[in-house]
Order: sequence, then C-alpha cells, then structure tokens
Amino acid sequence: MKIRKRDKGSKVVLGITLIFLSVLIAVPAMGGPAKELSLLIVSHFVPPFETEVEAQAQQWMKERPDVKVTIDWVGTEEQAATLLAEAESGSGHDIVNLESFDSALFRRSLLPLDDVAEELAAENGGWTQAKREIGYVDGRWVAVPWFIHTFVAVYRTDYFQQIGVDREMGSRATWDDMLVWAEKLAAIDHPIGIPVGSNNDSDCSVGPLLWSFGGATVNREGEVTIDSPETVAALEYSKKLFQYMPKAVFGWTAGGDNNVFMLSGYGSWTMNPPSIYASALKSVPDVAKYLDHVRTPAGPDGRFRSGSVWSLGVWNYSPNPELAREFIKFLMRKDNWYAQLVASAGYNQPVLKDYQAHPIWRDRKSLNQYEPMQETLHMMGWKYGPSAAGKKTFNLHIVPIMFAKATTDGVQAAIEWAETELKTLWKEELRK
Amino acid sequence: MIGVQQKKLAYLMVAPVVIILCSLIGFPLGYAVFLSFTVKHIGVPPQFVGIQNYVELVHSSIFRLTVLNTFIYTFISVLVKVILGVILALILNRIGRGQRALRGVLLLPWVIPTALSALVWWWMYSELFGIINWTLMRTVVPQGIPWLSTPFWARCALIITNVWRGLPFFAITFLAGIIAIPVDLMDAVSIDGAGAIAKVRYVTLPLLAPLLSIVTLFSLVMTAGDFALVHIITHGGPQNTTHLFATLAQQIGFKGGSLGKGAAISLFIVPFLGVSAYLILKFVRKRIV
Repeated sequence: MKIRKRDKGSKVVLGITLIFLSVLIAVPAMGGPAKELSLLIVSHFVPPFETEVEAQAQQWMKERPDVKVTIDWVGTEEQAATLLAEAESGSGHDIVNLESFDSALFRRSLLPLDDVAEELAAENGGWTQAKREIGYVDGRWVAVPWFIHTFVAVYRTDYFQQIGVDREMGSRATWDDMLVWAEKLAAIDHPIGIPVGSNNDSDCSVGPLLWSFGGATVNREGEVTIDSPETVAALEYSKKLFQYMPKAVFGWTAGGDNNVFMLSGYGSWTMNPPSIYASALKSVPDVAKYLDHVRTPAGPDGRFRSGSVWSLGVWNYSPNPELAREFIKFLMRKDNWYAQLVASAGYNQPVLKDYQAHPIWRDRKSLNQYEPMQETLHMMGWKYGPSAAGKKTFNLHIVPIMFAKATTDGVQAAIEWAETELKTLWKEELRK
Repeated sequence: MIGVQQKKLAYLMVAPVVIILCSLIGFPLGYAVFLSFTVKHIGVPPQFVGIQNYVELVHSSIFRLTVLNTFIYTFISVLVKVILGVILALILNRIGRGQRALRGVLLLPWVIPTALSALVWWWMYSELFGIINWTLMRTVVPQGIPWLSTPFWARCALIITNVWRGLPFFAITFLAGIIAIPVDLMDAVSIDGAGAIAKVRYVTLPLLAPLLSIVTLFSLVMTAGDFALVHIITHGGPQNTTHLFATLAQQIGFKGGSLGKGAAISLFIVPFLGVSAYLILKFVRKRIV
C-alpha cells in the first residue's frame, strides 16, 4: 500500500512539473515576439553610449512588439575573429559593426544597402567626408557609416605657453613648427610623443604625417607608390622629429600608452581622439584643465586626419534583412543619433552633413577643432578607395613600422621593406 | 586468449573516444592542411593553389623573421627553465620545514591566467612609468632599459615573462622526480664518498633524464605555440621582431582575412615540433632501455 501511495504521489508531482514546463514553453511562444534581430557592436570607449543604444533598442521594441532585439558588445580585439567566424559559417548576428575598410574585406558576405544609404543621405544633407571612402565598395553601399572617431592633436596648454606657443599658433601649426617646438618641449622635460608601434593608433598618427608630405601607399589604380621622393621627405623629417620623443613610442602597443603619457602630466602633445580628455575629466581634473585639441600639423601637401569610421552592415544570409534595414535607419534617425552623441560626450563625429549642426562641439571649447573637421580625412590605402589590401596595410601596421625602420635601418631600407610588403598585399587584391 | 567477441567489444568501447578525437583534433587539423594549399578569402570558396602559400611565406621577410623569433624565444626560454627548474627543485628538496607552503606559493605564476599575468608584466615593462624602470633608474641604470621599444630588450622581456610563468611547472615536476629517487641509492653513494655535486651529476641527473626530456618536450610545444604573452605584451613589435607563428597567423589569417596563408603559417611549426618530439622521445626510449 505504502509503495502505491508513493507511486501516486510521484505521478502527481510529475504531472504538475510537466504542466509547468509546458506553460513555460508555450507562453513565450504564444505571446512573445515572433522575430529576433541580433546585433554585434564593438564596445565603445565611452560606456554611456552603450547604455543609450540599449535604451534605443528597447524603445524600438515598443514600436515593434513583434521583434526582439539583442545586442552583443564585443572588444575590438575579438571583433576581427568574430566577424570572420560569422562570415565563414554563415551564422551569427544580423547586423554587424564594421571598422573602416572591414566593409571591403567582408564585401562578399554583406547585403547591399544602397536604399538605406541613399535615403539617409537625401534626408540629412548628404554624407560628410567619410562617405564613399568607407561603405561604397565595387559600386554598391555594403555598409552604412554610423559615426567616426578621428585623431586630432591633443596638447597641454601650459607647457606650450612656457615655450611661447598659444592656441592660435598651435592650430595653424606646420610640421616644421612642430620640429622647433618639440625640441623646446623636450628641453623642459615635457616631450611630445606619437605612437610608432604595432597598433592602430600608430597608423592613425603617422598616416597623416606621410600624406601631408605627399606620400601614399598606393595610387588610384592600386599601384604601390610608397617609393617616392615624398615618402623620403616624410621619413627624413620624422627622423628629426622622433629624436625629441621618448624612445618608448616605438614600443607603444596599446591605445592606452599615449593616454597614460598625457594623463601622467609628462607628455605635452600627441595625436588621439578626445578620450584622453574624457579620462582626464573623470580621474585627473588637474590635467584636464590644461588639455586642449587643435588641428593636426600641415605639411607641404596639406593637413590630414585619420581614424576609424564605424559602419553598420547586414550579413547577406540574415533571415531578417528588412528588419535590419529598418533598425539601422532607426539608429541613424537624427534624434536618436544626437542622443548617442551626447551619451558619447561629443566623441562620436557625424557622417551625415546635417548632424554637424549639433552644438556640443561649439559649446565645449576644447572640442571645437575636433568637429567639424578642418583637415582632409582619409584611411590607410585611401587613394584606391575601400579595399581589403588597404585594411591589411592598416592591420599589419606597415606604415608605422616603415617609420620606425627608417630610424634604425635608414630611410631607403625602410621604404624597400614597405614596398615589398605592400606589393604582396596589392598583388593579392588586384588578382581577385 | 581474447575471443573475437571480446575484441569487437573492445573496439566498440574505444570507438566513441576515437570519434571524438577525430572530430575535435583530426577534422580541424585536416581542414587547416587543406586551407594551407588554397587561396581563401572571406565569403568565397577556396581556390586550390598547391604550395603557393608556403613559397610566398618563405620569400616574406616578416615570416623569415618570425621563424628566427620563434627559434630564439623557444630555445632560450626552455633552456633557462630547465636549468633553473633543476636548481630550484634541488633547493626545494633540501628545505624541510615549510616546503609544502613554498610549493604552493611557487605554483602561483603557473596557475594565474596568462592574460592577466601578461597584462601585469606589460605594465611593469612600461618604459616611462613601469615599476622595473622606475627602480632601475633610481639605482643602477639611470637611463632605464628600453624594454618594449628595441628588438633585443623586447625579446628579453618576453623570455623573462615566459620563464617566470613556466618555471614553477618545471621545478615542481623535477622535485617530484627527485623525491622518487630511492634513499638507499643516495645512502650508498654517500658511503662511497660522493659529495653533493657528484650526487647530482652521477645519480640525480641521470635518473631525472627521462622526466626532464618529457617536460622539455611538453614545454617546447607550449612555448613555440605561445600566443597570449606576445599578443598582450608586444603585439609582435617592435618592427615585427617578436612575432611567433601563432601571432603572425592570427594577424595574417584573422585580421588580414587571408585564411589560406594563415593556416600555412600555423602549419609551418609542425615539422619543427615533429623533429623535436622524435629526437626527445628517441632519447627517452634509449635511457629507459
């Protein structure tokens, strides 16, 4: 009898459990969103931006209760491997965040977004400088530019005053001026320093130096043009400038190196987006009050700036292409983009002309030479346009390594090395 | 005698493990070999190109430098770990009280996640603000050491970090080997008049040799295939002078999107490790026989 009672009890428990599980499974299936849209976005340097984007996704889900949006944030180091794995396996997220020429590298796996790009441009005064250099590959928009982070000159006003240089002079600076000032700043033990190592910051810092002397990695046809009198001039100049910088700049590997250089109060000038300033405001206000941003120095061929253009692309195997298009347009809508901008503390720069009207850059004196840009913006490998070889030139840090080699192996040896490496990359690009 | 049925059952029992091994090790390895003979760009099927990737790599200055870096890094790191490991094990064996606690502390560098310890070392190596240069500049080297900005010192920095991380494993393993040496044997040698150095030379080291060889082989494989230390501390710089096979493969294959070439770089290490394994295992067998 006892055994039977236990059996009965067990059956009741089992029955209740099964009903409970069925309800758990059935309720979301009946009342939950029918579709899912997933995004892979690179973690932002200013965390409140991520909170804002998450909030906007929640807001969109209220307007579209049939859709559930999931955002996965990924570090810059993991981004390349994740994108590659997703593109090769044909699975993963619907919308992906692409950096600069990633659009060209992944072009065969991305859905054309001409309609979205053209609609956004028509409604918002057209694209800024980022435009076709980034998302427009092989005659199609394969990614929609979202925002830019560029490298401007970050400097200590007090140290520059000590050597008799004010803001106005700093913003008109040429590389020749910088050479004179760098010597004086080194003499007061507050040297200048730009990264010349194996990291992205180095490409964004020495790239504009090369271009301002007229040098370029390739021409419009994809022919390697690094071996030129202009490159020789840039490298000869850099040898003179680098002698006033700490030797450590050749080993700077992470984005944080030049940040620490400035935040410590030791460094007087570097090239970076305003993240140094943002960090200083938060943790070292005594340094922040002396930090300012001015245009990058000009060379004989002009004044240039580089950086990262962050775009949004949709995998061509996404089951939700229309939803993805709709959500990209939602994120790019003026009110939403402005909210993202404020959350990023002015760090995000616009890719649509009308968005340049936001007052944040004018209201903050330290940012008013950050945006609108007064230099010409380009990415590594820019003369040819978006290309996988351009992206590889950037990822392999060929240009900064060439600059570093010029100081140790001589200018001609450095150029020969860079030419060999670039020709290998461009041979691959052009035979595809 | 094992019957036919028993044999079949044995194969059946082993089959799941074989299947798992083949899928988890065999398939990726086979696919990597296949990719290395192709030009594979993202989003398009691979094109068979024979040994073109290997030929291009041999002609690449970055790759040739990587081969040299890998050899220097592996050879010096393993050699230093073996020498210091034996010395440390002998010292530990002498310590009576507190040996257990000391062994625990000693293992810390080995058990701390590599990414974390590499990050700490990277901070310490900072030329302008790191604690090592801070100390050196106030004591014996006023100008400091360019740890990460010159090829020689960057290689030294990586080797020091690798030795710091791997030494505990060597020392503890050798200690286990030393403890296992019969006390009678040591007593007999002592009666014969052998001193401490003679004991190490004629008893400890010969008896440790098989263990030493296996640990060396294990370390060779792990050190040559290292990734995290280089990736975090130097990024392969300055001027590509600290790239190893794994970091270069990641840069070319993942970041550059050239999967075929990336696979070829990874596989270049196989013959090197294969020859090392063959020689070491041959030595071990010879010692045991």
